[in-house]
Amino acid sequence: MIVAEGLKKSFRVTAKRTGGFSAFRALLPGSTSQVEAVRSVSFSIKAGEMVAVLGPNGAGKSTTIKMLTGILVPDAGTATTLGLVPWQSRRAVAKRIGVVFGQRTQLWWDLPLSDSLDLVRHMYGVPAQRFGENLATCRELLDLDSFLDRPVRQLSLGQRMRGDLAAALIHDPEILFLDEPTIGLDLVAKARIRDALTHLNQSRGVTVLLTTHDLADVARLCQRVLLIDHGRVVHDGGLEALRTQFGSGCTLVVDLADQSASGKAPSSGAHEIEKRSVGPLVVPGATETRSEGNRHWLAFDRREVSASDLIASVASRYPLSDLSLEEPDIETVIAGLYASRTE
Amino acid sequence: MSRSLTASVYSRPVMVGSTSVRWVSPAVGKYCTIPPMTTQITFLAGLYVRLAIARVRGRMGYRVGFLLMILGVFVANTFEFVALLVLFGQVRLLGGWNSHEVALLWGMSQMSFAIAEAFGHGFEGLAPQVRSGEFDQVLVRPLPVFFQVFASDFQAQRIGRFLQGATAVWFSRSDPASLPWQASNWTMLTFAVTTGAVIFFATFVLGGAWALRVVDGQELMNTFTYGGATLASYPLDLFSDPIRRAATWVLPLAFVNYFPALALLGRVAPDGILPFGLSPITLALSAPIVALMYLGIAVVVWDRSVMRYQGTGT
Repeated sequence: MIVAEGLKKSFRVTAKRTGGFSAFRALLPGSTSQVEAVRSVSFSIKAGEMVAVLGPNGAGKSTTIKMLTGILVPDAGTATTLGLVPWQSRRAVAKRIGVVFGQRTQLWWDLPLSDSLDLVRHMYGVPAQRFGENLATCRELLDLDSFLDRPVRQLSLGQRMRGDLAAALIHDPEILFLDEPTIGLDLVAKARIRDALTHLNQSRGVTVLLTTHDLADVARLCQRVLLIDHGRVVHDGGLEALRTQFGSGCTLVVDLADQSASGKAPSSGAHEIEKRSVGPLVVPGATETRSEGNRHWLAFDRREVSASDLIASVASRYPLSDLSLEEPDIETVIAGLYASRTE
Repeated sequence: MSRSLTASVYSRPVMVGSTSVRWVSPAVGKYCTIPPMTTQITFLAGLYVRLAIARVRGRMGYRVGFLLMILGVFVANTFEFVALLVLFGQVRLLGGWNSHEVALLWGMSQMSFAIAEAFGHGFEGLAPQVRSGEFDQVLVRPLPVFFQVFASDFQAQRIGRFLQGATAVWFSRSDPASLPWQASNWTMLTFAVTTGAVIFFATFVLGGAWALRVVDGQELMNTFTYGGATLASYPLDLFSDPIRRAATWVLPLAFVNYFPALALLGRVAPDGILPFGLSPITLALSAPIVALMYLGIAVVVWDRSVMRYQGTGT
């Protein structure tokens, strides 16, 4: 359905000129720098899959989508969408795919949504009967009825996004490319979009490729995640596998037993006090990140020391009353990945 | 491609199991099979009308605003014209042309420019769309890029400028000293205005191509579009030699109205202003060829700019 092999794309960025005659000076060669948006992206997507493309801003997600939809021509590498090279057969590919950019609208701002959809139908040459069927499906699926006759400029962001999605479905696309389809939407609106996408995927077999920053989208929709960073695919697999691969940093929370209450060591008071304010716990393979009364947080890397070994060594050194293991949630994993990028 | 044949390609929803309705994906290339050229042109012409109507209807949503806009354009241009007449209160001739003769030039330029603006505004308003990324939307539709930009912004409100131009021509004809016009003169005027519109339109296309290459090149672009219309509103006799040459050979503004006006008024041009020493009538008649060649160049430049945009993604 979609195959990308070694896609590469760099942009020349010109330092922004300001001041008078900027338009004329734009003619002159200026200080330009090459930005490698996509260095080498390869993957393949089968019919009926729902795949999320994750990655920090500027990682190359949108650029990749633009190459797969025929908007941009890559510097190197090949890609086929529906068996066609999208930038060579732009119009033929466009007929069979639907594209939604969450940040922009393809609808006519001043016209009622229904008129926009009708114009889209004529642009794609969809026969009236099929249009009627698809419109009916969209009205039900996306609950368009309450605002179908309202000008697009009066719609809320969530309504507009539903309208945009409907506009992308009028011509029965085989693949949907969605660039941040839930950006800026409230929870209810997000849920509606997700439900619609799930339905389209399951009942119509539409292949979906979406970029998002919302991990709830991914968890709800996609069995497969492509994580793109620095213009490369750094992970291709399930969301859980992402945690295993990148989320090796865990935290062991240890509650030390209160020694004074145990009454085991009736020795001098000075010794009592020393016992109670135990300094940072010293355990091989872990470092204390935080402490609060008797509770201590020990960070460790699961690839270096297993949780059971660590617990054993803590127990052999300190009296324990309770302990728990905190695994990083997926958001933390990805946030950590994004943060490491700037270093 | 007949409609019934296309429709038969669609698969009806079929029941799979008992619970889910499943749409079998229709055949490849389904809706728009690439039709023969004539069908394609009819299809695009129909679509243009539909998109133009949608554009006008969208603006009519603010009906009062729409009418005020037409009126505003008319009044603003009238003021410009009145300013010109005030100038003639001080001088009798401008480059050897009297007020009625200049009014003809002015009117023709305004009418041509109004038509070009009405049809070419999609290209004129491209720069912000390229900057915001809205232009990408055009590239994911199964239609020629040129057509989509062409059809994206039909501006009926430009009729205000057109009417003002027509008023100027009417004023020009009200000169009791001038010779009465025959039907052939009016035909030539109509042709000249249309030709001029094509030339201005092609300039808008070039401006759009420019916007695809240079993100903040709008000001420079306006110099040629709006600046060109202003320049063409005055007799070329007024300008220095380099400008006369540029207006003949680079941006063919002289073919918009100057050569046709010379022919219509039976005026004699100053030495060296007529290319190859051709007569104004010959030049006026060859204007449509010049206009089409210029449009052809503009379309080629446009196509290359779109390709470059796809290659660089500004």
